[in-house]
Amino acid sequence: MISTWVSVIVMLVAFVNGARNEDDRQPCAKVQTSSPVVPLGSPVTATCIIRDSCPVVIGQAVHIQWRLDNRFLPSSTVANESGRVSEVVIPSFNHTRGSLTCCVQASSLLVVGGVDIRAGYPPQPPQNLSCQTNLTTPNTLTCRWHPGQQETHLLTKYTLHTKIRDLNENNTYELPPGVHQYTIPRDGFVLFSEIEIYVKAVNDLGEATSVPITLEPVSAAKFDPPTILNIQAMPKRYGCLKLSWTLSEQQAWMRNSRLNLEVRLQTADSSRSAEQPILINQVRSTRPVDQCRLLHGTQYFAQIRVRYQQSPWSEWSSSQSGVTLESAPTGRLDWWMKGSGNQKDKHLTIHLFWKPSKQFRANSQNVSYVVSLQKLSGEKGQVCTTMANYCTIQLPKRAKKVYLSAVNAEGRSNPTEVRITLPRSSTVISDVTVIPQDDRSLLVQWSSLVSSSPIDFVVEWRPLLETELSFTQFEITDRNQTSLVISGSIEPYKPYGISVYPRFKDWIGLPQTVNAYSRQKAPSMVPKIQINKNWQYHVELTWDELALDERNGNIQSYKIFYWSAMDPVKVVATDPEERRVVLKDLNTVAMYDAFMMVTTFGGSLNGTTFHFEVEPFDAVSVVMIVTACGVGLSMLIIFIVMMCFSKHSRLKGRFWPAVPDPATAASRDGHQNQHRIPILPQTVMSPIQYTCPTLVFWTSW
Amino acid sequence: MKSLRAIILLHYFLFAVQSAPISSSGPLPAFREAAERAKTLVEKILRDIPTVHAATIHTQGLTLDSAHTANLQMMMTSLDIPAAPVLKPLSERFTLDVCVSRMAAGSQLYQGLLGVLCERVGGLSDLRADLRDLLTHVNKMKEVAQLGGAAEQNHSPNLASRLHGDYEVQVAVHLTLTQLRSFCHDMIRSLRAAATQRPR
Repeated sequence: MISTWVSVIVMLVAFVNGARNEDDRQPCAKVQTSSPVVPLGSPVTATCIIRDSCPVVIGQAVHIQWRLDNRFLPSSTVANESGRVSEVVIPSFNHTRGSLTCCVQASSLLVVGGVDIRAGYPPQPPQNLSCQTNLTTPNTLTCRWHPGQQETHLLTKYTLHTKIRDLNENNTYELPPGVHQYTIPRDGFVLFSEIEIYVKAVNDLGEATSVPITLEPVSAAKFDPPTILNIQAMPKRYGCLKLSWTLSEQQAWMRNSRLNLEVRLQTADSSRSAEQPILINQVRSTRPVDQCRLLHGTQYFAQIRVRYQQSPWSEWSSSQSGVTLESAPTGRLDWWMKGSGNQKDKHLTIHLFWKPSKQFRANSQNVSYVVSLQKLSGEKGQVCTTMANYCTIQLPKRAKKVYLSAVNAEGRSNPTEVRITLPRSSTVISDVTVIPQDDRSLLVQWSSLVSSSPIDFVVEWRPLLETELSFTQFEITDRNQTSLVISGSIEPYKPYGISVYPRFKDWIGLPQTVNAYSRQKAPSMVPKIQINKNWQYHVELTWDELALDERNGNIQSYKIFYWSAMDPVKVVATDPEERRVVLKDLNTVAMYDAFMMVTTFGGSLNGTTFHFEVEPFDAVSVVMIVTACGVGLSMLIIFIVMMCFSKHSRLKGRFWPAVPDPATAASRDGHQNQHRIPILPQTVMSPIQYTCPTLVFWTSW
Repeated sequence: MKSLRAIILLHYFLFAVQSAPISSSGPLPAFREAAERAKTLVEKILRDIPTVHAATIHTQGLTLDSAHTANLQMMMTSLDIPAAPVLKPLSERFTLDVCVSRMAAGSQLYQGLLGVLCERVGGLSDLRADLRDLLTHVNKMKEVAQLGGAAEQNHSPNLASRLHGDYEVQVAVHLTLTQLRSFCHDMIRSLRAAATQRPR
């Protein structure tokens, strides 16, 4: 009995304690809002209801305040209905996320409740949904879409939905957040059976669905590049190639299916390429494809690509080549002939150049050319056979024509008649100018005498760095034409000799020739300088002309820069024709440094610095001085000798007076009349010395 | 006497010998298209079988071209792997209806077997999907041509309960693929013939 009562009491005490603890565990306030997720910029209303039993408010009036994150909301937005209930209205919630808290000002500010508000946008319909099948093992179907321009700022989930029509089977694939593509596994689609696909986007503010697409998986596959097995000429079918091909190993199971094929053909000479790929529908890889209406005897490089129905095109295959059957050449050749010879010569030397006309077809990969004196000739009459595009031939003076034909293994083209016309020293062309157009073309302009009436003009050009005539090119212009743009073989930084010839019915006038560059740059080298003469205060510098392949342009000037420790930098410039310079007024005690700068119309190049100095006495100076002294001394000696042996006493007396010897003079006076003679200074002279004081001077010296 | 012979021969050619029905006009385009697609899928399955076999079978002696298949007859029985439906050339008795029905049954059979084996071995799911696609198009042939034909009784294989160990699994996969290959060869011939038929 007692134990029962004890148990009851214990249970009651526990219940009361539990009730009390439950009260303590309940939040002080409840913050309610219509929705914790709202559209961005929309109003938010929240209500805070404080529990009466909340210890904070027991026995005292409280002031309720609202905070959004760390910022108090203005009281204008707050409506306190009572001491225990407060409502706040945020007119426009412009944050993507915020914590709205209900606070009570007691002894201090206490947070009694709160709610997280999130704001964003409903999802936009997924856009640009597209799918592509991968037919490489494993077969899959990958779909991609764009989520839309607008960021939702909310967690948005995407799901991919498919419906296989023939199976009436629906599948849904859920995607991780932020992923906008999905690869459907092999069992999610049926080959050759239509499947409808759409994407749904869902977040707390709504959902949106993409525009559904319907596709057949094989028709949505990008095939691997096919392979060309071989390309062969077709027997007895000129201008045709048979192309055998196959699908890749991964798609070989489609070999009996009808596919669409595109063939791209290009000749080795890309100037004759097919402009558009050739489309062939409904072909099987088990059957070769014929391509016709091609050039004869021409190598073609082919590439193919494939698709099934309207699927994306595969990438182009690797290239394979084949050669069509050869046939005899057709069409005429354009020619240009330069002759030389005079009345006395029995033979003429002519340079004949040719090139295919627009209508010419070689119809073979190996074409040679024959120049013959006869129109219908066999071996006899042939004066030149070559694979090149020119001939230099000696012809009898009486020859008026030759015939030019192209020959291959299948035959010969109709001969082109070439009239033999000799040059005449008649100046018809004037003012030829060449203006670069770009790196690879030149504008040639000329004028001719009004009185002349050529049948046409021939503009000929050749690279000056090459000596072979095969590099010569030409273009024939109408007689009314005065300009021509030449291109194709022109390269920058290389010199070309361009000549304009007037051509008349029976003769060719004198050409005018200009050397030109399409583009110039600084020279590759600087000439080596020789210090040729070095005499007092002057130095002469000379150099050789740069080789043509080193100039890279027309030399505009040479400049010498020189300086020393005592002199500032000086510059001396010369014209390109004059390749010497004399440096004057140099300081003899200084060592000079110098370098040359060579300038073309495209740039300049500085040479390495070299040194020189001016010697005060160089060998020339010494020789001159010695020579002068020697000549002077010799002159003096001669004069003295002449004077010594001269009988002209007055002249002698002028140069040296007769001064008698005092000893001899005293004895003579004793015997004869005494002549008073002046006593001269003590100068003892020998008889010879007495006679030639000059010699005495010279000897004592 | 001679005239009697002539009459007999005439009777023979006109009535006794009846060749397979050949349509006077072409087959339905949709039927033909479905048959072409089914044939393409069979060719895909035939090309995939060696690859799948190499990827899944590692037991010595179990090769596709092995002569040991005949020694596995008992295993086939114990594993309860049914034989494939027999496909014959089209004839008065083996009509198009029957032919298509058997193709469907065989496709379904092997789809089911591979479904069971997929639980034990990886690398079979794509082949199973191919068989599902094949069955889809064979059923389409039936639908387009409004072919009736008795539904072939499928022997529901009880394979799963008989795969006690890895060896049984290997043998089951090997036998299934081997039989499937043979069945597919027969299907190619049948589909080629069916594509020229005009269903009645």
